[in-house]
Amino acid sequence: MQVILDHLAALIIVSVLVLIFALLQVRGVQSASETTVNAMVRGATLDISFMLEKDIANMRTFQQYTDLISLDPTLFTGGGWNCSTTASGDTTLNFSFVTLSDPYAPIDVANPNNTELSLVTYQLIREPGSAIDRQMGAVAQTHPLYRLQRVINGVVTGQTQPYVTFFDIEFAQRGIAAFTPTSTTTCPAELTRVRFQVQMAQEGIERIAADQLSNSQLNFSRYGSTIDLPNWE
Amino acid sequence: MQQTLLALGALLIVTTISMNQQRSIFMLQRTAYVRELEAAASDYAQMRLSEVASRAFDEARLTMTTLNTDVSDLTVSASFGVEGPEAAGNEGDFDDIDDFHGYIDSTITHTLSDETYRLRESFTVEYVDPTSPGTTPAAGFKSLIKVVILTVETQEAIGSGYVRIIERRSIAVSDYV
Repeated sequence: MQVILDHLAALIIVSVLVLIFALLQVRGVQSASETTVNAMVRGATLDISFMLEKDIANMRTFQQYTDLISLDPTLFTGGGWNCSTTASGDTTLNFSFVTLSDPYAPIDVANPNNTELSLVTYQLIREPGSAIDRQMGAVAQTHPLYRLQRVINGVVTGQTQPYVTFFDIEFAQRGIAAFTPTSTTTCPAELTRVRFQVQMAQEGIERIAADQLSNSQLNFSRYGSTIDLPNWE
Repeated sequence: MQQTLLALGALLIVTTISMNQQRSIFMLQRTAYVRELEAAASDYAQMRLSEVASRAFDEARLTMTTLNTDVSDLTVSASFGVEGPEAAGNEGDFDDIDDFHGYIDSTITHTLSDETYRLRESFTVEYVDPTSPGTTPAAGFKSLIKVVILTVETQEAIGSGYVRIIERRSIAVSDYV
């Protein structure tokens, strides 16, 4: 006891220093984890965006796909498949169009109507009950979470993790410069450009103690692109 | 006395380490933030150039429906910008590509969902000399190709000036119908 009392000040200082170092270590690990999650979400956002970008660039016109129906009517049934959307507010829920079955295959120039086509649908599927909170200083925002899935001829061929918070498709038609959101259910007849935006949330670290609250101001990753459709002219 | 000096030395070391750690975390976040800003600026530039390119090639081609290879009636580069009743700051009045020459908009808030990116855009329009692309042609030169150069800048921090050129992109537009 005498020894402890003699060195009480030193012991208190050592304890405080150890505590500070421990907190710094926790912060460092948290920061590294957030950086890794950020990179992963960024990669996931780009993956689905590049796929969508390629599909839109290969979008076929109504005439092109009806030409194909005349060759092989069993490929397409149901009608209204050339380009359609459904939306809720400013969020696109479904975006369907006819595109090349193989996004990277060259078109047979001599017989363009022989190129194999598919109906592709990008669907935003709500994760039941799932939402994410975003902390912006003292303000907390809650966002519903979705999966964005790619469906080819009715079969799900791929999907994102359920971290999509926003998906939007906009159209521009010949003679009109501005893009309009997908409030309509069919694409304009003289569609010239399609624009899309995807936003995904980053899952934060589970908060156990007050010090573990994320101090990051960046909890989303987004990508947007505009694709010209010269063959729709 | 000796113990006090040792304690002060220890606190100094901890403070230094702590500040470096905070700086490291800040730099990581800043890098990620700038990357998102760059993506937003790139997306914005692509959209804007697409919109600009959808306008008429020249004031003299507004009502023309067939290809005209005569360049004599095209606007000289010194006169690029708004013409006649068009207001310089009102994009709604712009009807051809070179109306955007010199146009600057500092009020852009590129919004996605509840995200807002503050950007500033500025346009330059030039004729392209097909025999010497990439160089600025001499005054009075005209051709059937124009290049629209869009520069997008952003703020490095809220409230700071627009100092960071984050995207410079151009699109060549030919005069065909």
